[in-house]
Amino acid sequence: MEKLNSIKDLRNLREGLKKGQKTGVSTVVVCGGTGCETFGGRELYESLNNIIKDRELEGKISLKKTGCQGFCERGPLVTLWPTNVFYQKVKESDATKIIDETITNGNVLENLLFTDPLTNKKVTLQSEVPFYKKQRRLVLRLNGVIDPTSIHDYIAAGGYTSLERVLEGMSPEQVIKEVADSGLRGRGGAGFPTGKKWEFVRKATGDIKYIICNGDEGDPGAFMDRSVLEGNPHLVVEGMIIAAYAIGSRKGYFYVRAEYPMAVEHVQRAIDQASELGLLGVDILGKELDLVLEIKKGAGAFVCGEETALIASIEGKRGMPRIRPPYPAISGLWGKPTCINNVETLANVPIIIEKGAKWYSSIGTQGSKGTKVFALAGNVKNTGLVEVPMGTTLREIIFDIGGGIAKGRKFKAAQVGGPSGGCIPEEYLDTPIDYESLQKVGAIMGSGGLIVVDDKTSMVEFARYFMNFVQDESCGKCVPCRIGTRRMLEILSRLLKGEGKESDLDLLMELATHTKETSLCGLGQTAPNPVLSTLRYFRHEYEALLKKTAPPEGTVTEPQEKVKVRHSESAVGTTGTEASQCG
Amino acid sequence: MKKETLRQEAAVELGGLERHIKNLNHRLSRSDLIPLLQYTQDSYGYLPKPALEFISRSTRIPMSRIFGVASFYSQFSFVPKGKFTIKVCVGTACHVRGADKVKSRIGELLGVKDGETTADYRFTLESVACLGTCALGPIVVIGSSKKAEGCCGGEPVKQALSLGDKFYGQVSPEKVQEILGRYTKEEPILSGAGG
Repeated sequence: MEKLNSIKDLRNLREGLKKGQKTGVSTVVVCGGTGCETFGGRELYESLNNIIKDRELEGKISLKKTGCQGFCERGPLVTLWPTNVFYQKVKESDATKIIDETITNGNVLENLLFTDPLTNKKVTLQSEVPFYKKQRRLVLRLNGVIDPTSIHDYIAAGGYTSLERVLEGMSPEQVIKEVADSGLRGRGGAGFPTGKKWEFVRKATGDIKYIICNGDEGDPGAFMDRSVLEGNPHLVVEGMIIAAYAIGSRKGYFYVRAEYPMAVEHVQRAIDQASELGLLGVDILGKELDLVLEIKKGAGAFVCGEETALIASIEGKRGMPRIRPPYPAISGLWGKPTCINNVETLANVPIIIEKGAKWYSSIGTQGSKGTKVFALAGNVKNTGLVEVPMGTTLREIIFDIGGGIAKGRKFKAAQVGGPSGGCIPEEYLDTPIDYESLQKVGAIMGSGGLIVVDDKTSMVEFARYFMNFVQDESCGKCVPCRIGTRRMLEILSRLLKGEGKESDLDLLMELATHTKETSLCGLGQTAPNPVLSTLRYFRHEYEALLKKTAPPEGTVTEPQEKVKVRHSESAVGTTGTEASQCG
Repeated sequence: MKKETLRQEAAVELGGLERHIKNLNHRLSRSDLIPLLQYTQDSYGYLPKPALEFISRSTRIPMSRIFGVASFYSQFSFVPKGKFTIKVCVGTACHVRGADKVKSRIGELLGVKDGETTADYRFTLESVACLGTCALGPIVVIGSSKKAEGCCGGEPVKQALSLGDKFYGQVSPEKVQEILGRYTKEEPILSGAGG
């Protein structure tokens, strides 16, 4: 790849790529997300490839592997262009038929079509599948369209045009203003206005400043950042370059969980390609802008999603948070002003620049603009990645997009925000979701994990599950979190064993409140949320346990000594492992 | 968090680590520590004491600090692992779909508890918080480590399986025995997707 020395070079490259795109060619698009890939997608791709070669159809049919398309439950997924025919649960053995029947003869294979669970009708086109139809995909727009390992694909699809616009005529202050006007708030959980954060870092004194992309998606049950990094890494890289320009940074880090080998690989490849093209490095596109990006792999600690802990981890220390202020915007990595943004936040930046703040802020609610990606999972029919405008109700997400509760059971609660979030009962299903409304009902946006549980789940056991997780992941630095989570876990376990005391519920409430109010960082401050929200909405289940009546049917597992929840270790530099080859 | 301590042991081959450090080609600083530990964990399957001492000398970071960092992150282990690491995802989505039962069944069949390694060093059973493949839970991932010390009565095991991780999705307790069976034979595993 030849280095691009100016914006004109980039435009010429894009025009050339667009012209070079074959028109009228049938394309078989195979989802290459971790879900589809590991459950037969890789073999399917290989056999499609072989058949196309065998039949000498290379000129007529092109084959493409994209990032995660989101509808993981139904994987491996295949979409055919230009007809938009959508096949799901495709097996390796279906490859021949797809090529011979559908592409060559134009016959749709009924058995591979998706059946709408509500109407029991087969759906032929991807755009008609309810799961996709009701979404509004901005961040995920190109997931499922482009090959994430090819910068050319991204550029041809209009990638890096926002960077062009920024470098062509926007001052850093104008970029910050645009982002501030758009109303974009941090997608990592807390919802801090992004424009304001950038402004702080811009104004902070110091000639060295850092930009960090927080890809330490530690919430169990959340996988949207992973899918963005895997499926469209250049979007995040572009967002990072724009952010670096706005705040005046020349060095940036991607902090990615080591449990996500494919994300690490795709981001690395994106960085390498962008550097080769001159979109990273010195004098980017001939302008006075330098930026070097580097990946830091996480080593398995939930608390490292907290910004000061993440910084400590990059510095090579134990990932423990510290008291703020000073905020990282003033004194962050190695004491320098540092801007930390979540993956999804940065992925929104090129969209805002491209479409403008006014357009962006027209989506969403009063206080929360744009869209949010949720990882919909648990006892719901259609699990997968869902991107909806802020203000969409939980009912729409769970029942219209998610298809309702699996196995004909009844809805009990939606757990939003992972271990820091809360359980929302049926009566609040019609609450429009945004940062504020979720807080009001006792949950938080968090990073966007949305786990649906059905009526056979014991909510006390569910709370114990989260408490077990956070007490294990508590770094131990501050007492309220270290001891508080442990004590709450003990009480919950005691209750579940049927050995609860009358005073336990009050004690639990007191501990939860104190831990929330006095912990050092976000982990401890939000750790009691699952307990508080279940106490608020499902108190009768706690009381039932106290009365030693039979626990709610089902999932009460053996109270365990101490379950060692550990993050995956395999991923330590999985170079050469199968998991990392799937790119 | 961790209760493991460093093992006293005989010398291990340090050539690879030495070359790796040389290839980094820059003066080591404190921020190199975690990547070096990740490399070591990957190469040996655990963190052998001599390797840590070597890192300590190279980076001039005292052993006490290295121990502090290594014991903090769950990715690192001070004891050798079995040839195959069975990771049961107990993330929320897998949990509500019955991951605990799957884990108990595996433990029952292998006679080990969470975090333990079988006596023949063939299997290590672990819980992991989330693998991000929530849609297909419960997930079990079986990975083979590059080095597995003392596996299978000291006899080096034929590397029949490719290195790397194999995902099994929507695993039920009933499926466990069949899945494990694939790893107790010496024949290469040909198929394997799904579960």
